[in-house]
Amino acid sequence: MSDPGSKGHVADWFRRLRTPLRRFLVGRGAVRVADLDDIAQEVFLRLLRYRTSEVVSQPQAYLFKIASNVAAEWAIRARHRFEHEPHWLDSLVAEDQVEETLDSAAAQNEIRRAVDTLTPRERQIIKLYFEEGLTHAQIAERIGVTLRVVRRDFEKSYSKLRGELKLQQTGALKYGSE
Amino acid sequence: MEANERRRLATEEASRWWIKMDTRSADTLSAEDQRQFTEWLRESPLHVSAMLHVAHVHDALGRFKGWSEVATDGADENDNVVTLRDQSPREESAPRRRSAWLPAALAAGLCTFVVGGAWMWLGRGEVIVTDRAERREVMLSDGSVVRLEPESMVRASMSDDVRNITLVRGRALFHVSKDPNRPFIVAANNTAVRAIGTAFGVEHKKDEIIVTVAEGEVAVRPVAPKIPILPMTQQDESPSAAQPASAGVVSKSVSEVRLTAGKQVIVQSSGSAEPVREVDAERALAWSEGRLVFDGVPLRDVAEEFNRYNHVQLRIEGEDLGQRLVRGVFQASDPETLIAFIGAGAHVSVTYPDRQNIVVAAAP
Repeated sequence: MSDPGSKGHVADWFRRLRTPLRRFLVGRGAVRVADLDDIAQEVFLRLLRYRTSEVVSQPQAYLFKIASNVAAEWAIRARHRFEHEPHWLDSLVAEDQVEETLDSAAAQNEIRRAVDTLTPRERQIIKLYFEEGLTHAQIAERIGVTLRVVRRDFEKSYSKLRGELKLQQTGALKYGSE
Repeated sequence: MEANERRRLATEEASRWWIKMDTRSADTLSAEDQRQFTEWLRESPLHVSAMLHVAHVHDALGRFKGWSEVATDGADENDNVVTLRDQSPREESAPRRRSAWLPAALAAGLCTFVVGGAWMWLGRGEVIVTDRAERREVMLSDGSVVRLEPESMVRASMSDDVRNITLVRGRALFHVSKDPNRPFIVAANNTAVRAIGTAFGVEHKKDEIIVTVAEGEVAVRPVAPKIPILPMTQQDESPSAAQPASAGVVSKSVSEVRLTAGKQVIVQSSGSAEPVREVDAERALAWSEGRLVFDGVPLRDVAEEFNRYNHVQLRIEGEDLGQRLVRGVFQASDPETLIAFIGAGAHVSVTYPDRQNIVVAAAP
């Protein structure tokens, strides 16, 4: 196995983390934000069942791979229930229609509202990251602060947004958009 | 610590890890960071949850289309304040030390007590009980995690030099947090299992005790029954739970069996152990993942096992049908999969007398 610490394997490492993460977020499982805690319980227990030496080699990949599996299993189970209880159909369909995806206007407004609660500098930093695609180091250079300050502001922004964002579900309903 | 406070801390840590692992950065996590991150993740479901939530935040920002309208006025003015705060002696991206987490685990346990009601402080130990169709996962004060299957009962008593757990009935998976100075001992009937840091399952099956190791190593040894050191203060235990061996009586002189990952031993009621055998630990411990594995088990017993896991109760009618052997893997929470399986191999009629019961009978 390649050494994840060596720079020669950055692309490799990136791919390993990236794929399972994408699959978790946009895979074929419908994950409501409210369900994330339950999924986390299950993911946690499954993580414990692997040997430490296995997980340590690529913990991020394990985390999101397991999460995506659990999410998919939940979706299958939901579908099963669905078959057995046809009268649930109406309510489920109705519910689906009002649910927001991350691309809906309501979700976009909500993200906008949450971002506006950040300090100007935090907004500036995540904007440079997501809009212009800069790296942390490039952002630091652009606005003339240290890399450490950039990372710290990122951390604070994400912590705040976790509490602030009131979205109903993750992007997981974007079926097959991977 | 308040639940909100624990959540806030977990979120901060998750954000720190997330930023540290930023996929756009040329730096990768060092081997030491990978190890610490793994350890952190496996400390608590709360950490896993925080990590998933932070991933969600990142995803939402990545899909946001209105960046051009986001104002950043005043970013420069804010600069001084931030720089000043940055000079505080704060460890950069260092994961929080373990000590801060232990009270959280303790608080988590107390929360379970308040909410669940089945977590009691009795005498000198905590007692965790599950009912029919109930599975419960509890973090003990030492950070170890016990996953209790339905109709099971565990008593935990922690002291400075030993962690004594008694599996009074049922079965449980233990994930033991490392503490070389305090062995973690699980007693069940006449069997004691000693672990330092590992994952293993212990189950009562009829009169036997089955020990299966998923990770690490444990020592299994018979213990002298009927000399419990811990007083049994409970009145409500089933007769089968009477006088389980206390972990406290483990004597070093008795021969012990060492089990490593993927090994299983069955200890009979007489105290004699069958030879250690190699098993597919994942399969042997499938119950801890909500799956039931049967290798030629009479349908009647299979139904009983399902009923343990579900509120909806399955009844098999007809002696012949009840004796049919079942071989397969099923989702414990879904009796319908079993019914479909029976239906595929035998001519049966399935009726639903009410919401709580399913009757499967040999078709006339």
